[in-house]
Amino acid sequence: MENLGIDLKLITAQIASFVIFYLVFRKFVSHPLIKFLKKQKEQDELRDELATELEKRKETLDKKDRDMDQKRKKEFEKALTLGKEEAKEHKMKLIAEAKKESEGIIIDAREQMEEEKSKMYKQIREKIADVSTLIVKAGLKDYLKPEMQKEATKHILEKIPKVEI
Amino acid sequence: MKIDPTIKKELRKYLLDRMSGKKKAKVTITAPYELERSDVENLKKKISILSEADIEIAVDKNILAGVVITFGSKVIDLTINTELQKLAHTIYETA
Repeated sequence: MENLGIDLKLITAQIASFVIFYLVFRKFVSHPLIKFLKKQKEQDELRDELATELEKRKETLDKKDRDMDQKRKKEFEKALTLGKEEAKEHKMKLIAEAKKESEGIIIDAREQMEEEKSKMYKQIREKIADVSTLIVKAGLKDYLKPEMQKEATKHILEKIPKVEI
Repeated sequence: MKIDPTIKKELRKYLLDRMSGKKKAKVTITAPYELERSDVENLKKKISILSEADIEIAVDKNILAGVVITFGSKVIDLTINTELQKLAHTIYETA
């Protein structure tokens, strides 16, 4: 060995120092590093899992949102249709009521007109009767002389039936 | 309440007359001219109350012909005026 230039002691010392270095390295550097890396990897995995879960939740929420949107839209359309139908019904009802009312007004007006017409006819008849009576009265007053009045009165008195009072 | 002495006197007289049976019913006959006695007699024959009543003759120139006999609140109208009024009323009703 010596002929080959190898110092056994030196090699042993070197091996020993290497072993010591390896042990120290392993104990104080390699192990914590590996531990740190492992922890980091775990955290990464956890982060990934969380991200995936968040993504899933987001998708679920989006879906729920879309569903709710659709539902809202449907309900709005339903309410709109219902409102339109109700408005139409109300409109028809109002038109019918207005028609009925206007017919009533027309009938009332006709009745009033007829009433006024007959009232007017009655007044005219009364006026004619009054005027006729006045004319006859005036004529008789002019025509009947005292003798004629006496004669007419006597005639009336003769025609009176016997009355017991 | 104080009653007018004149009214009191008249009322007493009226009641006494009624109680004694002296008071006769007062009848007014209104005509367009002063009625003759024969007309009144004729009326007395026809209307019994006139023969037992105090008759007062009145003249109303507005009456065309006929007479109006009034006693108390009762009126017997036998004038042409009333007949004309009846005619007017008939025209109201029938025309």
